[in-house]
Amino acid sequence: MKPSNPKNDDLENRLRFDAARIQPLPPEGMNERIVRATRHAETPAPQFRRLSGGFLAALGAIGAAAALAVVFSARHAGGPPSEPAPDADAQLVSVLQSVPALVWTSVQPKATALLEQDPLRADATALYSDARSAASFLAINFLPSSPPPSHSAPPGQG
Amino acid sequence: MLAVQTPSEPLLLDASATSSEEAGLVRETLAGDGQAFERLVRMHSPRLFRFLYQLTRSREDAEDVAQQTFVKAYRHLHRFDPERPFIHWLLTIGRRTALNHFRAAKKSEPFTEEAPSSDPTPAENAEFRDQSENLWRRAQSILPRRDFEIMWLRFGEDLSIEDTARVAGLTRTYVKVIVFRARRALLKAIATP
Repeated sequence: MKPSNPKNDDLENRLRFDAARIQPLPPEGMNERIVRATRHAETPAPQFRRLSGGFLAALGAIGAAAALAVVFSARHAGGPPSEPAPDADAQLVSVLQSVPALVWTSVQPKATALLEQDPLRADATALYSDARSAASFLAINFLPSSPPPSHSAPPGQG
Repeated sequence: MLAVQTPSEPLLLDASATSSEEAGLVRETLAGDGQAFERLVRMHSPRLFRFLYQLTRSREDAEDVAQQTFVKAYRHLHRFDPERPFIHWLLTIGRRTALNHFRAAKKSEPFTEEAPSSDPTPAENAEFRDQSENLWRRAQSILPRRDFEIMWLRFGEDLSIEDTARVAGLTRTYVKVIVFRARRALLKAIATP
């Protein structure tokens, strides 16, 4: 343990003592003015939580789409080419093609509510735009351009 | 040798408020109880004002910054860590707000004394007289702004090294260095008549 310097101790005690003597009186009515100002201020916490919910929903939808795309591409890469599974593939195709719609329906109600609040308008627009771009990207890159003829009209599109 | 007296009363003005009480008031405010935040304001505004007055040397600026500080605290109340004293959080916000306030006002020297707009009242006279004999007055005149801030947080607000570092956004080692340097400068200044 380092020995304390008496001069330093004296100085610190005097600083504490002198600080206690400084008690500037707050201007009259300051607390009331502060309280009034805070009453006019909005607490952003609930809005923040709503935005987080929408963001998480979109992330979840994109994640699900990505997982399906990975499964789909793995099946095509790993399986023998002479062994097609048209029913399963058709189901996957229909699910994947409905992903943009899923993303839209999961985000739209929240986004619409958010758009009514001006400060969040830009965030919500960006969020929806990102979600659509991501879904379109996945659809373009992972979906086959022409599904098997027997399943050319998937139920998700009808 | 310095003349040392023991402070007659504890420095902490909000000693009656425990952390759990504060956390409860914060919870009630977040649940929509405006009275709870009003209690937090009344509890902590004197100490926040005193700190800001040390930074600004102006009652008007100190009040202005105090108001902005409480509004910011109210808006970001969900970010408050209930494990920490509420006053430390307020001092952190207040310090940053004061810095921004001066940047916005383009005041290059925040410690310049405000010109008296009218004849000072007897109470103000007594306060000025008292302050002129105060060691903090000396500290203000010889220490750089940031060193003064650190010294005030450490000894004026009686925060620990760790809490001082947290409020000022510095490392503990850096705070120790600043305190050591400022203490040496003050001792030298006191020794010089």
